[in-house]
Amino acid sequence: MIRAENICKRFRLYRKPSDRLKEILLRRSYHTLYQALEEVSFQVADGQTFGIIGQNGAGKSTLLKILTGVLLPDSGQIQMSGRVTGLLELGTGFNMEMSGLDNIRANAMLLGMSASQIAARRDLIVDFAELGEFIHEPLKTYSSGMVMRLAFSIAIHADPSCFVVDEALSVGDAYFQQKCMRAIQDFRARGGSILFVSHDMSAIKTLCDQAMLLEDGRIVDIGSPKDVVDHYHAMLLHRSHQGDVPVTINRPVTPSEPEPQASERPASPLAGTGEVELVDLRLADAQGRRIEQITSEAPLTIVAELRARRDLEQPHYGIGIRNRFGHSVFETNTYCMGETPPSVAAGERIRVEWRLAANLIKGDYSISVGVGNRPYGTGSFDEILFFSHDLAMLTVEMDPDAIRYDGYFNMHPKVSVIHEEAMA
Amino acid sequence: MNLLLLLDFTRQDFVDRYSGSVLGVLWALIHPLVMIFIFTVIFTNIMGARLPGVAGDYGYAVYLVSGLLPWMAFANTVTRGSTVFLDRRNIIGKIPIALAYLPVYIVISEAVTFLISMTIFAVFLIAVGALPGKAIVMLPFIFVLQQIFAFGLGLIFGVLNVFLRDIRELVGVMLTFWFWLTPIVWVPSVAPPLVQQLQETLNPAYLFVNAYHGIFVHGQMPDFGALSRLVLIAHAALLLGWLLLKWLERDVRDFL
Repeated sequence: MIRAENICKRFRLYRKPSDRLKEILLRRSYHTLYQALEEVSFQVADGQTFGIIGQNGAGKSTLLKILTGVLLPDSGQIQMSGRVTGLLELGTGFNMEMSGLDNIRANAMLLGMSASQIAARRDLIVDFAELGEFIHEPLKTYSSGMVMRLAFSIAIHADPSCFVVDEALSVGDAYFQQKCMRAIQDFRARGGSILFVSHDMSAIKTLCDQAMLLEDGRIVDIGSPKDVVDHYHAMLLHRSHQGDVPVTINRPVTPSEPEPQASERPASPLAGTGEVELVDLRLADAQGRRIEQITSEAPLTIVAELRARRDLEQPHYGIGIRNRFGHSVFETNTYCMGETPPSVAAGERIRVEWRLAANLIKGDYSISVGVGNRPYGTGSFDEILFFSHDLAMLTVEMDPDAIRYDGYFNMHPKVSVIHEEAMA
Repeated sequence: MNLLLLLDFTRQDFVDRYSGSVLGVLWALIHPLVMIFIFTVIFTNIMGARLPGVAGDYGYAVYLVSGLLPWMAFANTVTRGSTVFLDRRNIIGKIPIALAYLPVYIVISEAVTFLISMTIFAVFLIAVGALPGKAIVMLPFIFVLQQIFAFGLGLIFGVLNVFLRDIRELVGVMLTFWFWLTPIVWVPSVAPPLVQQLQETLNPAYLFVNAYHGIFVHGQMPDFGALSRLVLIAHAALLLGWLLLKWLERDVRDFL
């Protein structure tokens, strides 16, 4: 278990380290303050995975360093039931001149393991790392992936109560990453806590029980991974505006679990300038009837009614469908489809009709809507005027006439089985 | 931070120092051997230097070596202590480690080197028949005090060196001055009386160097007044170093 309460960390930035001594001697200030963390509190229960997301410089690494005890916080308290290990920028204090085996011993000792524990774990660590004869060679001959294997193997076998998974894991090849994920899941099943720091948002949504979004050292959002990731995406959209238009970001409305009035929920955009308003969003079947549920394979129409409060010279409209994990199943926009919708005048009302085939697997889905102006690149916009997730819910029922399948959607396979005699 | 880890650091220290060399740890024996040999040959046999008031051919060589070996342990401990946090920043930045205990491995490592040198010196003393008397029992006690003092100084300079890299060079210069201002190569009686008196009051190194000289050259028990002063000074240095580290630990970690 980890409990962090009101962690604050300020870095005093000096032009050179000796200014710190000058400050003490002359009793004058020679630094500029940098607030790396402010009032950060959270709790991770045993057997839980806690995701930490945020842009570069948001304070993620500082927080990890404080949790591992490498940096000391200015104020705040940390309670932890045991030690924290992890990859932490690869190779926690490896000696590149020493062999893999010697590094295992030295590193395990540094992590605070006793001699008998090390003796008991050594073979496990060696087996897990799968380095073969390289285990007897000095670390300087290793590739970065091999160093990562060794670091991970030691860290997971050091009996931590909390394990930190960060981007360093991605140094490993696909096979070893899978092996690591299995080991991490075993560790979690045994009651260990996991801190998961990643820029891979779908991994955060899939693996975490809770997530926290940091921005400039403050907790912007904490809660269910899906909501927090949505919030983060909205924040990134905001960034892409480069500050030329004031944008409001609203926290996503929480319970995204079955909610009958989902389609009537007030449309408060995740991000947007407020200059485009979603008047109505409805889902309809082939007969144009309003629906909340549809049979797989049937035609689906999504109608978004929008009102613009100002002129839009190059407007584009986007649609997205996400499954209950918040993973995007399908999303596109008029720009990506090669369309050029006509410009819009202030006060005008626009109706955007999407006609799609709902060949999705049975399950609950949510609809996202976006409006952008002046596209560039492969699908970015100068302005995001409206963007919001979970505006309407759609339940897809299985089509009894279609094939049975698993995955995301029906790719309508055709299959032939040819016997060898017939091939000649 | 446990003893096991410190001993491993010490072991690793020796491995690192001699790694890749054919003779390995044998070099730890060769250095003192060469030193004793040179001092004996040059000062005793070539220059014919005699220690005033001490009979025997090897008096001056014994005087030199018995002061020099502890001084080297002392000076090396201080020098390496002053850079320990920077040298070990890769570990400090990754693993929660108690900073105050980190320099202990240097103290142990230098003590081992000292022990090896002393063994060789003992062989030499037996060979020339200049065995010290029972005052030798005081040797470990003085050495421990000396190393506590060195540890304290190392901590102080180590902390300061994180902020001001010049400290490391300053320590080198200071130790050179200190070495020549302390009667290790020269005999106090050749100095003016004022300098002799200043030694007593101002130079903590004189307190232990003089004690070694007493034991090895004159077979005397150390002066307990001087020793109790050394006890005070050594622990004051240790306390100061520890307080300085506690006060600046957050900054030390931030800067590394």
